[in-house]
Amino acid sequence: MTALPPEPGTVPDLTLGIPDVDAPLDPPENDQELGDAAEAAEAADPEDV
Amino acid sequence: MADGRTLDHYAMRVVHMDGRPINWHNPPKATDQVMWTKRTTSSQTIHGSFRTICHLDRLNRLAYLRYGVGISVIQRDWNTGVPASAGTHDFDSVFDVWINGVDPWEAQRFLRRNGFGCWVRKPPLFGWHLHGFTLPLREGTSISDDFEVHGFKVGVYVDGGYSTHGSLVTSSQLADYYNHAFGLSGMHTPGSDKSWYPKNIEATIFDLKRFVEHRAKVGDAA
Repeated sequence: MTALPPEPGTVPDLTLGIPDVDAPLDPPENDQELGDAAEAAEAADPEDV
Repeated sequence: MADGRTLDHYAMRVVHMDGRPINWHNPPKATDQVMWTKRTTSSQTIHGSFRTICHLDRLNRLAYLRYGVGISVIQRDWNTGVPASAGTHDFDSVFDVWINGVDPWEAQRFLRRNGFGCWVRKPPLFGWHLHGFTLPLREGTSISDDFEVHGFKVGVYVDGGYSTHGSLVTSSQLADYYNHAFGLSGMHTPGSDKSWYPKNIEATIFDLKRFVEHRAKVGDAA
């Protein structure tokens, strides 16, 4: 077996094309509520594209 | 939801590797290689399995409808030119993406709801992006072998090595995703990622058959 490369996260990933972002580093406090609400809305009205 | 936006003028296409259009009434196999007419942010072509590229196209369509902007692919799958991404992007299904103008945490919820197992990658370890992959169909009791059993080859850290080494030889981002972990070195503890995950991850998995049937019915643009 060949040697495995470093596990992801041990070195910085590609940055090419990544925009400058002004966003909070952590998810919002209401992340669970936002996700659950969107999930319920989409379940009630699925988008067939 | 869609805010009245339509896909009447949607221009992206899934095509064969030689550029021929897909016959949606006689489509390729899920594992056949195809191309997407959208390119990466560094103008590289994007190709992958038919299932993967169709999923990317569906995500792009949904993003247009929801946000009025498509998905930017920062790093493609089948990309071997980035040493730091060895073991993740070197085979199928894995992309670094961004949705311009959309809060990354909102983008993460949107992509997770639609079958893209992903994480916000952020400073200081990374530049901002979302790293993720098309979730494979579920099969059996082991999650990490799901790519391999369906004939897809992915980077060793994506499925722990099943599709490249024949068995589990290292950590698996796919397992981490189902376990609500981060998919990073030393960050595999189940439940450690407190951001939102779908209640039923399996229910979010991309339905290729339904997508193909819809394309055959309404065409590429609609």
